[in-house]
Amino acid sequence: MTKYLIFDSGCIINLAEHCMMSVFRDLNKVFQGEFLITDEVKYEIIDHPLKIKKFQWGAIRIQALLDEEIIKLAEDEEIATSKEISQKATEVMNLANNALFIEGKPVHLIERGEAEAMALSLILSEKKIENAVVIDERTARMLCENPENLEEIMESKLESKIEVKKENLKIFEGIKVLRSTEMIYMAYKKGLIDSDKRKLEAMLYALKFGGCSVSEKEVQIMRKL
Amino acid sequence: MQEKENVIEMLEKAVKAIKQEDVIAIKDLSNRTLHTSAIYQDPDNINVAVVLYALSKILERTRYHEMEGWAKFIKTYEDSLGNALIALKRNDIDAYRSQINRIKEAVDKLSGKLKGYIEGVFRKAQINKASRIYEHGISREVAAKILGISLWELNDYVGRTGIADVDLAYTLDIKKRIKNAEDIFR
Repeated sequence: MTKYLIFDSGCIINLAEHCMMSVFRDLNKVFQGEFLITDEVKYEIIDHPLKIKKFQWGAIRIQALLDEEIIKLAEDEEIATSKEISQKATEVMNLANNALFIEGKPVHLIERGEAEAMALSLILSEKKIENAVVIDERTARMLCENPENLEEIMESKLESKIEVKKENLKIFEGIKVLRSTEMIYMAYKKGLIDSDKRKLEAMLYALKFGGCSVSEKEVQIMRKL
Repeated sequence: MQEKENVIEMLEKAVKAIKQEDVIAIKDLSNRTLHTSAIYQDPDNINVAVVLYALSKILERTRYHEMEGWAKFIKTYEDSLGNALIALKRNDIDAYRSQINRIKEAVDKLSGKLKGYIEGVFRKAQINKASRIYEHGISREVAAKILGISLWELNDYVGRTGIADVDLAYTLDIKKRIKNAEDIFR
């Protein structure tokens, strides 16, 4: 059965901004499945930046990925309809944005793009289709992997007690999350970039400083693996 | 408007700091409004944070002070903050917002190099505040949206902060994550 990698905006922007599109294309060739984005993510990485001079060129380069079918719109793949994704994303947003409370008020944690990526992953998992979400930003990843840490960060930063509605977070358990750094690491492991470890390290750092939520320690571990 | 009393307190202190030319105090105030901005995500609180942060940066850069249009611009800026405070104390929210907008209009009315510089300062102030809201645990997409900036700008800025290196952000053993990557690429 086909596997799917679902991309959030940040990861594709990061790869595009750091001239890693050719590696991305090569990874797509060796992947036994499809790279997917949702409508909202397309808006964030192509439609909206096309209207901003500063980001137009980046958006055009990403548009080329769509034209070449390196990335595909989930809605066109007949694995989930727009309506299905939209409804699930609304559910995901409602749960995430009513999970953490400060002074009795729910904290608005995530937006539509992130929610759609997670929603698509949940839909595919319900259909027993292997998938993972590629997210460079921290909050959505923490919701899936360790919401207790997110709670702790918020409590320490906001100096307020956070109340958690744990039942709202259950849906996120089991969503597999990768980052742009793991994509590049896989490219290295598959021989798609040369075996010079300095090059791998440089690419990982470029992604880290470009906004991928990966720590210095993690980059060093990846370099040594 | 959420947390009106908080905005009043910030503006009172800001007006005092402006009189004392205390740039550090102004910047500090803008950071303090962030807590409320992150919790309530209220545009009025966020605008104050941006306006105060931008003011601290503008006052810091003394080379701007010699440029054409500076005197009129900074007078409008400072007067508007004072008037915004008076309006808010009267509970006249519309007048308050109109005064904050006057600052943005004053930027639009500038010309030449100063206009470009000040616009840049405001843009960076928005990005800085979005980054700080993200640091508080709110997602990047939410932070970008409430500050009216692009994810492209925010990603780049966030990458240059230490947010990713906070221990609590480490949510899965890296070897396990790589195993997940290898499994899906198998």
